[in-house]
Amino acid sequence: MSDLPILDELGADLQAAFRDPRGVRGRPLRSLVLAAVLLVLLAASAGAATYYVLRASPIAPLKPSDVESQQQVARGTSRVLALRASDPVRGEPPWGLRIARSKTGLTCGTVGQIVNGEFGIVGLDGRFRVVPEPNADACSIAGADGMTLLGLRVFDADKAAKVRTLLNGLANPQLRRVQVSLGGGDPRTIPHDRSGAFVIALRGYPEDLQPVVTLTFAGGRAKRLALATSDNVIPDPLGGGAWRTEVGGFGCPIRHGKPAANCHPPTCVTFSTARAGKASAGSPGLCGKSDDSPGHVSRALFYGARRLSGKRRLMSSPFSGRWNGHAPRTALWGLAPTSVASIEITGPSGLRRVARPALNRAFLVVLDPTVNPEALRVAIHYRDGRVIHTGPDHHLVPTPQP
Amino acid sequence: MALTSDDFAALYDRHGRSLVIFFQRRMYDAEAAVDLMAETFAVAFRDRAQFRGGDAAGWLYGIAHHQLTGYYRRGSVERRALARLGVARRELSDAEIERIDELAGTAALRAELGGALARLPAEQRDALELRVVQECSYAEVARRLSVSEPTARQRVSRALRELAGALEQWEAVQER
Repeated sequence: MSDLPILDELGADLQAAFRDPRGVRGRPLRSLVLAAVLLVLLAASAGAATYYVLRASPIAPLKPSDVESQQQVARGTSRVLALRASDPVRGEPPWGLRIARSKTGLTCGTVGQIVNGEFGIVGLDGRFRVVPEPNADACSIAGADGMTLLGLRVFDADKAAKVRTLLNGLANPQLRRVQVSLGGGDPRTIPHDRSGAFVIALRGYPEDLQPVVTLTFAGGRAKRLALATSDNVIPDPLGGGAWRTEVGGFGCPIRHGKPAANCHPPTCVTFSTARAGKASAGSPGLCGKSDDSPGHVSRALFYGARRLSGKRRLMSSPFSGRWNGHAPRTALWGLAPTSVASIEITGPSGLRRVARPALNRAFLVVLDPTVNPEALRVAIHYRDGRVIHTGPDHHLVPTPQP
Repeated sequence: MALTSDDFAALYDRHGRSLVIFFQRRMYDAEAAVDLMAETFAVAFRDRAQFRGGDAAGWLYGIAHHQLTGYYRRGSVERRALARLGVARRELSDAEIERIDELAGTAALRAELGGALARLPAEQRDALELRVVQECSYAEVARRLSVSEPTARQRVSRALRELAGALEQWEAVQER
């Protein structure tokens, strides 16, 4: 079952329980702290990102055989910096950064929590476990820009409110200021120490936060880094999970072994929660006529506005959507050609949003569900200066049934 | 004949993966499929005294069917037997979700169901969409289609039967 390690792990759990059912009864059932998922590194060795699944057992030190030599921590070189970042929940242990040297001379960083002077992680079961010295998140060397490490470390959880993203980094003593803005908001200054290290604990996943870090060094030189961004992933305006657009289409019927002539199947755009999972929600597809063909620059432009709610289940079409009980949202989404620079959406009470087509040509604006989609107005700004004004629905065709 | 823990270990090795595929093809939710597979084994172990000998796989799949029915009714995985055993929930990686999808041939199944939908008479397809996709009441389906409510129910029922038949045929081919 090596292609599905989870079955091996579950099998081991079950077999242990089968052998000694009374011995395991009453064991805590909740899954504890889960994974470290994302590391954004600057010139870092791509060695073993530590991955913790804590189950009433200590965190095992990484085996040297499982770690690239550049990322093997040299024994006795670790030190936990005095820098502390508070957890978003008051009363939870603060977060810190442990710096070490690898056996090949790289600088390694690890984020963790500090309890009674020890460096580790508090699991969702409330138990603190020490993170052993060999377990480093990432190792790197100082770059010409003064940065050694910059990372987003995710501590996943079974509830969104418990998910933590740890933004952390190590620059150099010339660092004067670290500013972080989240979801396009105003920048705020976060503390750093004399060595140029910084860490901040945030609630939520990186794509929900889309942090932009601006580092200012002595002499005024500034470095701006946008993390966890993608042009087709947008943060939720109401503080929920981020959204992602997708573009899909239908094939032409095959007649006598060839696609039917003069077939122009529609293209459809959907959007869904960027992070897949049981609670993920997806919009229905909005479809328009496609004019895609080899060597031809598409001019397809279509969009629509809808208020989405409920628990729709996907049955008849890959584009029928499944909102899955997600909190309601009003949204306007569709497809624009590359000749469009921006899409300006206006509405009641001075509402104004500007969207730009992503690489997949889709665009999306998510709004508060109290906004009436029919009250929205759209202005399409072309790169050549033309502007066209329309209502909330434009050039849509019915979603085809497969 | 009572099953031993070694028998369960062997059953898991032989049928654990197949059960995940079995559930995935009926639920399109890899995480729930793995949870239900684990719960099936936990229930089988709990009820091992009820096993009367013979085909252990058939007995196991009987429990799996029962679990699936419960899932459809509740809309969630019951983990009571796993809880009694103290087995914690495991999280799937994205790669594992994709692999389970691949093993279950969900994409092919979607295409098969899409074909079966396309072959439905338009009146049945419309009724099915209104009822299942748009979640209309039967009264609303009847009103929208300008037919009586019994006729609306009949059309939805026939459409679902056709799709179920197509699904069974597809599964029979896949499992051959």
